[in-house]
Amino acid sequence: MLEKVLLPITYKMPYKEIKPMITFLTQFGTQYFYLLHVKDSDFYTTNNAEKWMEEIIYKLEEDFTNNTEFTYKVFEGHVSTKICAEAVEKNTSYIYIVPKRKGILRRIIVGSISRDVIAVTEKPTLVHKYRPYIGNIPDINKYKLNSVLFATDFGAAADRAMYFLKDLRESINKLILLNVRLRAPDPTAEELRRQDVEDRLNLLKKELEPHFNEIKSYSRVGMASKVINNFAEEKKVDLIVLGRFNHPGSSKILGSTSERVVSMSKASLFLVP
Amino acid sequence: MFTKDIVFKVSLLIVLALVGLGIYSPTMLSNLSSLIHTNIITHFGWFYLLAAFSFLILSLVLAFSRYGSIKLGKDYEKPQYSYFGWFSMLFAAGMGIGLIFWGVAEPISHYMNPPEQIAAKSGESAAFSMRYSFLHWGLHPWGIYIIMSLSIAYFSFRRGMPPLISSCFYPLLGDKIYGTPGHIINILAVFATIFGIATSLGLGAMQIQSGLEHVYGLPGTTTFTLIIIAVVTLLFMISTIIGLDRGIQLLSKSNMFLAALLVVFMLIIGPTSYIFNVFVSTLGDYANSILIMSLKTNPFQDFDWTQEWTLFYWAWWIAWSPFVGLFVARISRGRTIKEFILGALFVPTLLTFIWFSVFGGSALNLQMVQGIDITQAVSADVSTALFVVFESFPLSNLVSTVAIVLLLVFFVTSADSATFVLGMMTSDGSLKPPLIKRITWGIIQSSVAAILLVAGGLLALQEMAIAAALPFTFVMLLMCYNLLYALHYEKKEHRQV
Repeated sequence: MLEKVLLPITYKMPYKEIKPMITFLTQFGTQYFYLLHVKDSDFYTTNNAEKWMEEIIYKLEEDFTNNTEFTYKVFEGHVSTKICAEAVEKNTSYIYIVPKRKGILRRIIVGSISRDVIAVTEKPTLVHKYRPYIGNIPDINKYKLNSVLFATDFGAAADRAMYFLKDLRESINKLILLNVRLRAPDPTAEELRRQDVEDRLNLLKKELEPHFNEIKSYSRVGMASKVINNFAEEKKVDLIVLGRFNHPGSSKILGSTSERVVSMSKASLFLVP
Repeated sequence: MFTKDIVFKVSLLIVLALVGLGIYSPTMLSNLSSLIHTNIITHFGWFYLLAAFSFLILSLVLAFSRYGSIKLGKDYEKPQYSYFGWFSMLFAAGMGIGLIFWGVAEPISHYMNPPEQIAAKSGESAAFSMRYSFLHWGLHPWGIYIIMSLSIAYFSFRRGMPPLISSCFYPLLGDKIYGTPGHIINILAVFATIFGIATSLGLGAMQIQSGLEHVYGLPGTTTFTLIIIAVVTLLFMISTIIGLDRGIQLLSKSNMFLAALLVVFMLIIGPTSYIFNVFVSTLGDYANSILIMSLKTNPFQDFDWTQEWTLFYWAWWIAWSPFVGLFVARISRGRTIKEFILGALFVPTLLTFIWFSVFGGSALNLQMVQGIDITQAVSADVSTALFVVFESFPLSNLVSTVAIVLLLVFFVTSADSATFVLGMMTSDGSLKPPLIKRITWGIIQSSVAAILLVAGGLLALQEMAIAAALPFTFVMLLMCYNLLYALHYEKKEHRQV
């Protein structure tokens, strides 16, 4: 399911940063890499960007010879919009973004491409944050994500995310299931709710057990984005898998759970819209 | 061991500390209450106005929202009282000593001492006085009571939790309502109730003393006021100990009948068409200016006036809200949210407007039309206002005596209800609080009223009410969040509770 990826890269990004990304993504079964650069500055021309991209592709084709294909394109325009549009146009399996490390002030003024993409993408998107560190992967065949957190509300969005989760099973050591819910307004309703969640988590665990070596499940009460991030930090999770469901109203002002998770988390996020 | 009955013990300790300070040094207590009051009003005056306005708006929004059809009880429950019975009890809850005391005193006070830009003792100040009396006793206090009673009714009758303020915080705090955060909330509620009630009891005692002095020539000293407090305390303590619940209920209903008789008497004997003119005109004025008045802090001029009146009232109502809220919640069980809000907001308000139009209007008529100067007497002692007005009408001694009886009965019934509410709040919401707790609170609240009167009179009472209300305002704002959360949750889950 993850054969084809759209990989946005910035102009003059060092090859030594691009190569580990490709290496990392091949472990998910990705074979087709569509490199995209969106020109958003007048300090260089489209022609320069295309020449530079050709050099990168040439190097990648030399280093990656096993069933991998590389193409590229250079566009001008709004970065996040172009990324999302191209992903649909080229029918990629997912988008892979490595956000730039920006300070909070710069983020407020300039904005965040990863947040913008998360907000509008129609394709699954992998946002690679601090973890997992891919600076030096010695043996790609043996590389596995230490732990993956699957945040579920048992809704349709989580169901969609679960298909991709099963696809990643070969690359995961440990799977953690997490349900975050709001507290019921009274103790009786809260107890009923807690029991219901526990039953559903057990069912989900049974369904996934044939596919994963180690699965643990947890249930928490609170605000989803905050709990997910805190939990991911507590368990030192590498990847958070999340389905996106757009809640009307508040998400327009406050941002969706996934937007808040991607901006606060140190773990990577795989979002399935 | 200390953690058992912790709300009762901590509340009692705090209040005893203040009572002790008052006994030891009334001046020190007066200075302390002034200091707290000044700082609160200076820095948080705007907050009271915004909070009270928010409660009113939220009440109206809830009434017409999709949550309006939710019942305050299980879905199969029916209201326990007829509309007439329910409206009477609502009015009785909000009415009482304060309305009798201020029914004449407030319009006349505003007439004599309006804000700077209005000429005193003019037509403009008269219109202003009635408009602001309507503001202080109209929709806003009931908006405050509604938020409190709606929260208590929803969480206790529909969600099955104990009738405590802390129960309304389960969505936010979860099981912590049974721990320190919950205890703090209940202690703040007790604190606010004590000082809200003490203010009313103090005003009642002052006015009973004024009435007795005016009609029967009894001494007009602070000592005599304290004796009145002691006697009335004894009366309601006896009713508490013997368990005269039914007697108190009968007394309360009779009192409402007596109050209605008084209003009708004044309406017929007094300047009838003038009263109707005042009512209609002020209603229009009020409706037209309610938005402006709601948020007018007067930062550029007349801030002192706003502090002295509007901010005091909003603080007083907030301090009263646990007491009134619990009572109104109990009598409104089985009604839908929409029905409850619209009934509790508009009917008591209308009856209050009639009361002010009758008594305030009569006073202004005497002053402005008939040329009888009552402002002089009111300037000397505001608690004499009502009796000075009665002097100009037939059967003045009888009517004054009726008013004194009204005050006495309101004092007894309010104090009795307050001891029950305080007992309940400090007994984990038990509907049968231990007698010893009720007696303790009865003695405490009368002592607080007495000591504050000695320390600084009416001003001290008002200052402490404002101080006690500030932390509780934060509690009420959070309560709004919890209520909205729970209502939204219910609709979302489509769950039959």
